[in-house]
Amino acid sequence: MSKVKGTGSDMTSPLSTAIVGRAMSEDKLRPEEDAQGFASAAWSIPSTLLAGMAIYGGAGWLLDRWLDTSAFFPIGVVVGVVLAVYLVYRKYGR
Amino acid sequence: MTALTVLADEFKAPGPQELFDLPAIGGVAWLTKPVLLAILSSIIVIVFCWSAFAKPKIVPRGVQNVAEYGYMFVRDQVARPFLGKDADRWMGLLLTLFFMIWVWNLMGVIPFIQFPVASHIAFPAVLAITIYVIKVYLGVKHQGPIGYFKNMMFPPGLPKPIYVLLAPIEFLSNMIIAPFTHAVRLFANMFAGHMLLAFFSMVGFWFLFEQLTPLGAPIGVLGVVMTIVFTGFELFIQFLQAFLFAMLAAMYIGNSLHPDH
Repeated sequence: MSKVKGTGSDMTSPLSTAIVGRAMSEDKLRPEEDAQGFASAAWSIPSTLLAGMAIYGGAGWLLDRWLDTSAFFPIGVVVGVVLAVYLVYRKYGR
Repeated sequence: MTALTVLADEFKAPGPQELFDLPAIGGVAWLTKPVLLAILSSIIVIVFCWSAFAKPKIVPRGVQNVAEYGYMFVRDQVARPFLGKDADRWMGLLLTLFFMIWVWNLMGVIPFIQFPVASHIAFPAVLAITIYVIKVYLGVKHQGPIGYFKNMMFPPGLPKPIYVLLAPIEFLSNMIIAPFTHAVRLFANMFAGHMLLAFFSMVGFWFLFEQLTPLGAPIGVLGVVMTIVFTGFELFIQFLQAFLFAMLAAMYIGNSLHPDH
């Protein structure tokens, strides 16, 4: 519920200002675009993390079934999370 | 404590089966309470908007005044932040979505009706699929069939080899998980809220009317108090979920129109 605060009316919250602060200095962004960037980040991060786990966990699970092992599923989940965090960091973190 | 457990054995909490698996009305298989409420909600929203905006006055009075507050809320908090100059073109869809879902949800606390339409997943699913189709159509139209998927799956500024690993994540996240959670968020909130309200009012009813005992009465009072508290909480959640659904719809449409973000 606290997420909503940042994405809704409260566009001058410290968090959103910090995230878009660098872009603001380029002096061409309108307030609407800050809101859009911040909200898409806030809403796509969980689904990105979930997708990472699902894709690579799923691949690991299939490998396990094929090779009759049990190690690739947990490895795949961890690899998926790491890749998803990396993706989020590169897309929104800088 | 033993007296309490004996009482608790007799009390049966209402389960999902009896709360949500409602009988067909008049032998028509598809005609159930949520369907009737959905039709009723449509009529309410149509009549409300019609009486507010059919003959608009420059100085708004009465219904128009109320509806304009809703319009301005959706325009300023939902449409403009995500659509910018395109906001006005999409207000029809977004305002309808917001009012429609809010009325659906309010059905959950209106006395004697008391069933949130969105607690049957088919209803939010249809809305989410509609938004999904609009999102993909607009994305392909404004960015080209290749450009849309390229912008979605290959965000700029990453080292080349890593794209092979990250593109499937982006695809799954945007094309499957996003629309799925869009519908499930609304459904699950209404489903859980209805369960909670039904449980607490059942506690109050059982311990104060069905089985009034000195030991059970305080529990019954607690049930009534919790029903009132959670009804207030539900009113907040109902508004919030209607707002979020419309906001996410605006966000998806905005991302398809302007791929920069």
